[in-house]
Amino acid sequence: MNEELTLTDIIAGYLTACGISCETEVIGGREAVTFQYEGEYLPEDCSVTVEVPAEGVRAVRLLMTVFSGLTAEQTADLRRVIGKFNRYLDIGCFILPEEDVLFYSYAFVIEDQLPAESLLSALTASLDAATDGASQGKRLLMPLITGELTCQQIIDRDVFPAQGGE
Amino acid sequence: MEQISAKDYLSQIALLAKDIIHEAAVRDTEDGAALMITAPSPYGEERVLTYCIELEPRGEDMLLFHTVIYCFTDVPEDRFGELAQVINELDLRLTVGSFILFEEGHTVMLSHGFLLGTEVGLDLAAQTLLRSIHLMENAAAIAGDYIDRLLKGECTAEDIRAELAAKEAGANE
Repeated sequence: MNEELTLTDIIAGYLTACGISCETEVIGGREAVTFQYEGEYLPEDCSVTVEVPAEGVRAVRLLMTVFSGLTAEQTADLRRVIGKFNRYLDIGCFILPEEDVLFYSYAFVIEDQLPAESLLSALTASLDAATDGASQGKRLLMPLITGELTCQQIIDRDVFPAQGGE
Repeated sequence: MEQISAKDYLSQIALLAKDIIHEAAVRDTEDGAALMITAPSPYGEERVLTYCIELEPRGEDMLLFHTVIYCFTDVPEDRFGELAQVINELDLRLTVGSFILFEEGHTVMLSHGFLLGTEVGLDLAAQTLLRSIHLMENAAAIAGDYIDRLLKGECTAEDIRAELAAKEAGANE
């Protein structure tokens, strides 16, 4: 059995069960599950990819689009702010791989020996945590995108994404 | 996992890696426990790296394992700008984790956290943790070369960006 397909099947099944429509496709030669959230402060286009960095382990990467269509000035401002934001994230980080898109990225490894139930709980908890992190960041950064606040004002507010337990 | 404390849990993990650890110390934190380790650097023969591994509960039945590797200390302030550019490029290529430039502490850290259920046994949890750390060390080793050269003034952030892009283009051919 192809282990990558099995993992993506699990992810796609979970999203579908949550009422989130998704598709399975190939991105960069890897099997991926793509989906979208809808909501003002929710991430936009999202993907989950799986690769095998070494025998006996799989690496899962969640990539969530926080903002797209950014101007050069917005990109430059975001580079400064996300450097601060990322310090406060326990899980994942904000990255700017291209000039006009801000992503929230979270990658983690899973041992092949992990029982199916533990695998599902780790995947679902990670998806929830990443969605929460991306959403918090989007809400905190939105005033920068709309021009309501400057980069320095965002930083000076001293409010950063908090990923805490309940 | 519910049978032992976070502190005992991390102590047992430290025992699993005792052969490569110089020093280890476990302490309680506000939400769980932390394990501080010094161990030989995977790059630079004389270097010793400091690791901080924190364990704390998340929600009702999940545990957060969060590892920080202190890769570079005493980073000069005039290199912060270029360093921020370089670590952004490096972050895009990491299997796990992200680099953090902690300007106030003049430090570059590599940070990674992941979640596991409390039902996962110690051996498998430790295996996952040590695997993640191994991948982080690989990243730290590769990044260390680039950051070292940048800090010594042997190249610029743009040079490094070009090198990384060329390396990727070569790998994709």
